[in-house]
Amino acid sequence: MWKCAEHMEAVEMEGEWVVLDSEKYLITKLNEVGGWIYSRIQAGDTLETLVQAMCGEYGISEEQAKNDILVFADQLVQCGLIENVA
Amino acid sequence: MHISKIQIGDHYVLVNTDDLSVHSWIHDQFKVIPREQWDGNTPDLYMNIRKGYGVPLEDYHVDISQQDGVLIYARDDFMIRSLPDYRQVELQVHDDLALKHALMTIYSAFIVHSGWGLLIHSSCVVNGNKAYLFAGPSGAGKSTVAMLSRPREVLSDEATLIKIEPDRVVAYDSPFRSDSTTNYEKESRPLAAIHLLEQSPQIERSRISQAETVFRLMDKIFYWAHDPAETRKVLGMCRTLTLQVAAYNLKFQKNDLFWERIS
Repeated sequence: MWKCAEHMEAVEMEGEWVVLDSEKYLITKLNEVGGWIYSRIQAGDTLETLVQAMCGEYGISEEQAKNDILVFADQLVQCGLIENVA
Repeated sequence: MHISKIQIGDHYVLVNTDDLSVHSWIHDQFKVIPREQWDGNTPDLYMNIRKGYGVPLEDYHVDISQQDGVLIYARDDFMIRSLPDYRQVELQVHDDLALKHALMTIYSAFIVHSGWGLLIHSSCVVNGNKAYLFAGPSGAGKSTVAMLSRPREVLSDEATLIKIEPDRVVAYDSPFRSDSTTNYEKESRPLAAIHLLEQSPQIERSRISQAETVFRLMDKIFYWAHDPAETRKVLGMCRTLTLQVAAYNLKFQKNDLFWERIS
């Protein structure tokens, strides 16, 4: 389970996302799939609901979806865009 | 005491100083409103300026803090004290360069705070009654493009002043210049395109996405982050700008042939 870090402002434009850390003035651009995952985390999705949604959205297996989400979420954590929560 | 009223963008600034060299510099650099025309132009900002502060510029870093409800921007060569609405400001500066940078710092903060627009590190040139903005990292050719574009009107060669509204983006005659001067008779023009520059043996113009444009413009805005709420306004205006104005990568040679690709 994750949550968006504080002071994050995200905007979607033509399917791509720009996320601004408004405290540190750091900006990150996410591609369409990355932005889609970020927006679901922002909306409060758990890993399980996100996996199901991704399978439906992109027609991939649960295993593939879970793997892709965990790898991407780890990158988002390292960039400071999201935080792990218990 | 020397008092002047100057105009920057749509805004009137009442400047007070006891230093004649500051007064002269203000009159050289800005559009000064003659006293007989002061009536009806209520100042948007009030500034007191003093010289004799600090040391010559060594480091561009600006420290921003807040003390007893007063915002303080401090650099080696200037100190700005401002109320949080950026309308009443005291500037202490070391020299003319410090004064120029302090004015850019506080005016940029003011237009972000009021949601009026942005000051973008770029040049801006008029062609066919529309304005074209050229941005890029240091040395990319912003002022070179402005120079090569003559006799077209140059609205800015260093810092482009743009007003951003939901249905309109307009570039103004900028007083914040490096190599050129202005007589302030240039009309503001609708912004037709944004170009991110790269010098190259070829000339090539290619469209970039809106998100890429926001991503690449954010570090070209004269803005010193200190308050997340203000920073969010910068992102919001950048987005509004990008939704209305197309952006391109522009590879250009050191001549004016790139205008054939633009127009």
